[in-house]
Amino acid sequence: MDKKIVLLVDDDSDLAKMLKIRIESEGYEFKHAGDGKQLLEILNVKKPDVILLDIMLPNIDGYSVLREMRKNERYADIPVIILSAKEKKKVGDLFILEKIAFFIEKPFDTKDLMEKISEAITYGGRRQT
Amino acid sequence: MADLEKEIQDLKEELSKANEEIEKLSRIKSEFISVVSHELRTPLTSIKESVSLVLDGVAGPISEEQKKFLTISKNNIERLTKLIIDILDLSKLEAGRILMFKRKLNINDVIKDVCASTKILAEQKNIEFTISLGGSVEPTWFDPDRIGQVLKNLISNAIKFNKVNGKVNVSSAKETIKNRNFIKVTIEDSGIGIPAEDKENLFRNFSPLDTSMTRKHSGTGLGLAISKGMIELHGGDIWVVSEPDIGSKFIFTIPLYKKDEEFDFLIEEAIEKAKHNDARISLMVFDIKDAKYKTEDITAGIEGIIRNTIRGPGDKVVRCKKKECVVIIACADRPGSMAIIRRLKGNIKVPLIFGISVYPDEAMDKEELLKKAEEDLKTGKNQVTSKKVLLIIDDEEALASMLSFRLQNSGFDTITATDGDTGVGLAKENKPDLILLDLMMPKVDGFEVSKRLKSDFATKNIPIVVFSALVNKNTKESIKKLNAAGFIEKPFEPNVLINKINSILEGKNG
Repeated sequence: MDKKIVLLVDDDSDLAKMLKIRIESEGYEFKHAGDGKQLLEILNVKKPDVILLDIMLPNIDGYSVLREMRKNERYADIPVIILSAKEKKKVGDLFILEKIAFFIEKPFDTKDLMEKISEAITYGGRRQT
Repeated sequence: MADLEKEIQDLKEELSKANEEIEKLSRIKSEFISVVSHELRTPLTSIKESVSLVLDGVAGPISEEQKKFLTISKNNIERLTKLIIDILDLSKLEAGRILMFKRKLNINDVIKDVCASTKILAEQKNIEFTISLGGSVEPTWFDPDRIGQVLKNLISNAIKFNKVNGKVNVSSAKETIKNRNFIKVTIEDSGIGIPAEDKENLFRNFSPLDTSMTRKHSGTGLGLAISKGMIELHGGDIWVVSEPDIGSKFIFTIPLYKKDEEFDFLIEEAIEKAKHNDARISLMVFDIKDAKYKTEDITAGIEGIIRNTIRGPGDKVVRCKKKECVVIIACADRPGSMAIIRRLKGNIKVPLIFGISVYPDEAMDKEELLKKAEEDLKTGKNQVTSKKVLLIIDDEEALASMLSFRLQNSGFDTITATDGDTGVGLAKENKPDLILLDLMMPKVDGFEVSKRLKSDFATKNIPIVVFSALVNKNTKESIKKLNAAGFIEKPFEPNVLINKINSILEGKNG
């Protein structure tokens, strides 16, 4: 069976380097996009099994990226985990609207992140916390 | 005499200016802290992850000695993270910018959850950890996350500041204090106790007692101040009873509401929430004077319909009965709560006395909101039945929104769809009074939309006004076949359109 693909969208390249090692060590394939544009480029090549999305992205913010992505039926069902230094409470409404699987605050607990990734892949993007 | 009056007036102005200035400064401070907190979290994320990569052995094997030092580093990262989160919480509490997500729950369930997660701390110190939950504890309104945070803080304090082999007991009970009902939660420990002179400062930020102990116990020194703030925002109280060398009891209360009180509480909550989110709230009042409407089934039915119409966990629906009416408050996080009221039209047999949808700045508090509702009821403004609903179906988004704006200014309520499929769906769902339909649309065009609407029993009698830019002889012929109520060529004068709409609606009614 092919490896499941985890796609990180975050402009913090240090974090990307580290998460690459961690996520690959858990048996996933890791991909990284620095902004929304790169995300769409990667999506065109191969559909990931889960997306880890930062909110404070350069140019277009994470929510707008998500909204754009969800408009395309092909990508409407990819589970998305928000990974943000901003608080969860502010975005309560988007949870349902954009089908966010989980919201994880930065700095995160790695073990927790790994559990959520596996859960998101298993249950899909429609699960709400 | 006049001089004195002028002097008082001047002083008043000065005072209000000073007040404004203070408020502004407090806002700037809280914004600053919020931005700084986020900026601190980002590098902290990388530090934390790099340390755990090495510590977990993912980056290769490490010696026990290296592990020891990295663990120190990891623990301090945790502490720093907690401190940042606490500072952010505290600054929001101070600025009154923290929002509670209250739900009606039994606090015993939250106590059980928190105890399950803190049990391990007690086991590590060999502390006897017991829970005695009161059976008479009724569900009440609180934010489970925030109360959970308070409980976790108090319980972990009780464990941390306890002696080895000590005891911790968490209990809940219903209690009446000064004629008001509360849920009382007590966290009792067998620790060193708190000297009387320190009790006063205990709930302050970085209280001296707390700071001296924090380094040893990896606290932040802010926990009690935050707990106090959270409890007060729930309308409760928090205090400590302590005897040196015997132990301390931390006690907090959360109000239980009687039926009438709950009504007031819920309205205030809805306003508060709407204000915070810049959203609208809707108030729907149903007449249940008639005995046949008084059944629980009917009121539950109304609530069910509203629940189905509102989507999203942030949207709140509450029902409260007061004498001869049922009030349902819907709090929608996005504009469109008027649509909720509109969709109820015809779906409910119970007379709707009034339904309003307001932005919170139009209704600063409960009294003002209710006053506005009463005024609206008298004048007919904002009433459910007073506005005609128009559905605009046009793939040109800019045009559709401009048209919608224009029509709303002319006293209509509008719904827009930017493609044919959605348009047909919305027509069935909302049963508008009139449909404005663009003929040239990709995929499902106006001709197709019209065909579908006319063939559906639910929508076939709704008048349609079609508009189009491309008009040649052939299209004119096809348009004629559509049997539309009106046709307008693009570009058109808004006034011409509005006149046409009015004459069609009046003709239909008369």
